[in-house]
Amino acid sequence: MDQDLENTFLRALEQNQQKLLRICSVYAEDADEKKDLFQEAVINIWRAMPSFEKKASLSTWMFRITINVCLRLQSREAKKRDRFRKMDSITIENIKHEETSHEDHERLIKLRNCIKKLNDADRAVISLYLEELPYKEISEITGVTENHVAVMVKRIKEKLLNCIIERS
Amino acid sequence: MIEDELVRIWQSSPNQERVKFEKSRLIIEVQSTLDQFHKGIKYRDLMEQIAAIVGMPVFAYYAYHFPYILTKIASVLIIFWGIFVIIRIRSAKKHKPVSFADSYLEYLYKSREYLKVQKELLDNILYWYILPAMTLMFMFILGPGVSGRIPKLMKTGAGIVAIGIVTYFLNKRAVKKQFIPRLEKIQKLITVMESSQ
Repeated sequence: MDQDLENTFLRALEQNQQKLLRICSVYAEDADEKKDLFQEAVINIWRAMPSFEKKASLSTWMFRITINVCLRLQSREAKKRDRFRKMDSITIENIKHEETSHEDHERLIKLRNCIKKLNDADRAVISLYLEELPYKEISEITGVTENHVAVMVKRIKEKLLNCIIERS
Repeated sequence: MIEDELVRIWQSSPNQERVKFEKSRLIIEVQSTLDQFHKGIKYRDLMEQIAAIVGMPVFAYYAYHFPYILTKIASVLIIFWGIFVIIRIRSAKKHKPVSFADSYLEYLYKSREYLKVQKELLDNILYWYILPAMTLMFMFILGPGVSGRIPKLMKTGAGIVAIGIVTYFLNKRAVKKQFIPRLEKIQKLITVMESSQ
């Protein structure tokens, strides 16, 4: 792989790492699985880099691969954790609670738990929506029409709000 | 809770966890894990081919060495049957969705197709795997004739039938426990994605 592609990959990864990690978080049972899914997504993005056609933006394309990796590997591979390829170059650090609001942390956990209760398709759509991707890009990633994405988002948001209220 | 609040909460995670990666090591590691991945696929394909390649000369030897016509015919047919089994399994694998760059709906369609092909393979295992194998094995053991060998042939025959029955029910169980629930789940997701399109 040439140097330009390598640099593009590293730059894009640096810009989008938090977003990709957040998507992985709703498909993972625990922190280890989240890291495993994230690493697997990184490997598959790298693997597919030479075939990136610039029809979509690089970040949309990275989301697409990450969603697909998470959907395909979540439950099937959870039972065979050792199949995941381990990489020491990636680490995920938890920041001490003093640095972040306890309330924010609680809310985030509540939101993630509510998202985890959704089906796979709804989880994919809402996690992309929460990353503030336009409906057009969500439509490209999921393969459903923009109108249908809008209908889905509306329905999922209602479900999420109800779930959060119930848990409060 | 207003909708923007959902987005704000969702995006608050960078304040709680941070990804760190060492660029120089990352590229080397990613490349080496990919090499391992390809090695794994190559190993699997190699094992399949070795099984066929080992079986072929063994039965070719039997076909050449044994003087019994029925055993000779059975040995040659077993070789062809082995080739057929490998082709059948490999052609079913071709449907496996491999690209991670497809849209989610495309992936679901491909997965459904792949699972249907795999399910059909197991549903029909009696006709393309168990019955031909049993018939050929019976032909093979009956080659030298039956006189004075009836008790031995009965035992061997019972063993072949028992293996056939166990194989049949194991595959039926796999269809029921693994393939049907997965197909139902995929169909449900496709319905969610397609509804109101």
